[in-house]
Amino acid sequence: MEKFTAFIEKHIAPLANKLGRNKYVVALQNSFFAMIPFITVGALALVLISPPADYTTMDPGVARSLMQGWQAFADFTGPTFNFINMVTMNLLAFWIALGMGLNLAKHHKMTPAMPILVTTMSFLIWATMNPDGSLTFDYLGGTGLFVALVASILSFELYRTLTEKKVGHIDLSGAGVPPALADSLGNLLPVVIIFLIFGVSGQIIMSITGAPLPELMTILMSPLLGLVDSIGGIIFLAVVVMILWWFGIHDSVITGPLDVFLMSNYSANMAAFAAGTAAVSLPYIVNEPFWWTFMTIGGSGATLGLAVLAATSKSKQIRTVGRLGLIPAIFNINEPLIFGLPIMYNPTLLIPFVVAMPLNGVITYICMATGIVSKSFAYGGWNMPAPFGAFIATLDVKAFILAIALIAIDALIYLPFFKVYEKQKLAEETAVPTEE
Amino acid sequence: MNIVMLCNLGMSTGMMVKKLEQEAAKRNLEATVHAYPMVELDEHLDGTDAILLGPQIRFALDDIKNRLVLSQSWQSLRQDFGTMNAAKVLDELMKLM
Repeated sequence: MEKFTAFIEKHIAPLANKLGRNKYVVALQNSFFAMIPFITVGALALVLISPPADYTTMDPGVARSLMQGWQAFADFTGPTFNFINMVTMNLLAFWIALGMGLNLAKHHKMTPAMPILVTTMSFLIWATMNPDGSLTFDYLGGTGLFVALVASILSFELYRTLTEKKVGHIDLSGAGVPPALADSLGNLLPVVIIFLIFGVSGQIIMSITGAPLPELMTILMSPLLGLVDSIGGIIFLAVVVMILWWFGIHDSVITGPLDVFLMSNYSANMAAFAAGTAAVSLPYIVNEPFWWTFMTIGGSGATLGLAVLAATSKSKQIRTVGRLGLIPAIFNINEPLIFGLPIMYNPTLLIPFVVAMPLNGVITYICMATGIVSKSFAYGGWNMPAPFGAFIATLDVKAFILAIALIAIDALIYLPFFKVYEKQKLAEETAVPTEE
Repeated sequence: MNIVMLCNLGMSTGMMVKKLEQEAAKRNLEATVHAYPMVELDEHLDGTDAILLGPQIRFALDDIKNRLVLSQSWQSLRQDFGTMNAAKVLDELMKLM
């Protein structure tokens, strides 16, 4: 065990560092981070206009009246709320392309105005080109996310290289031209070069494949998307994330890039739901709410159950940490438990810590694949307490019950290991009298 | 004294802000404490005296080491971070100042 720990600290941790601090990963995370409130607003807008049950088929009663009222509200506000949902989610890739330009510019300490325009427009050149010469807006949402990433990174690096090397730079300094104008006019040629590259490459790919460029990207990414959307995929990803966390290393190195896939699947589900598909027959199972609401209950490692056990422990030390960590755990923050209990480097708790979250994933996957529970299409944010988040995600009461069942199952998985740890701590506490 | 605490989203260190401020007040220290997401570090460097990194992003220490007066990962204090033991953390911090 010692050797393994030393190996991870020496080799894997620096690697995780390198990846986690990679400027593209950080820019991507930052862009998604900034979008969280808007994504939540978009999801809530959709939920508010989607009564979970059709009142016309219900027996008279409070529930029917409630649904009837909800339907009336939905009919009245629907058009407006639908627009709000579309502007946030159906343009998600557009916002990410914009965010990438901003965050990469910040990383390189560049004035952000030009990079933002370069990345956003380069993305639009690739994403809106239609074979018949018109503009299409079909790929500005989740389906365009990968195009947005590739286009913004490529165009940004092109722009940075060209301007740093002063290729085609028109020097306007000293001519009394305001700096902002000098920046945009002086870099006219790099922009021309980048747009030509994007325009021509987009055109060539389109003429070969006969479809807009994002279609090709979707085909290229579909094996990976399929892998993420499978039991094997979630087990693998969750186990890697949990091993990292056991060493006290944040999961952003995995979940940063993973979020693109989860978001892509999520927005596909949301679009399908908004178009009238029933929640049980949405295209994807594994997506943003699946991971952050159904799997990560109480934080990475599904530690909400453990927090309850700790808060009621006989050991004073464990109980103190448990009480401190319980409220944050309800909102899916578990650093107090990971570092305070601690779980980190704690061999006694390693097995349940690594097993609980993938198991949540497997159970939820089976429930959704068999149609017992609706698939998720609305994301309430990762801080939303799990049962409520699960209900909002699916508008299915069974999802609420599933989340509560998962908390209980997680607690049961932790229980035997927790008891062993508690015994260790109790032995320590009786051996060394505490200061009180 | 301006203390900045960083973690991935500024959430878990955010829980520590008040505890540290109270502890500093108890000792009649003039200290302001803020928690930010790691990625926002650059925007808050001005006038900052000390940076504390959440142990979960300790790997970022090398990145910020050269950029500031004092920066410290809580690696050795991780359990005190977990238990929100502000007194101990402030003790260690004052030793470094």
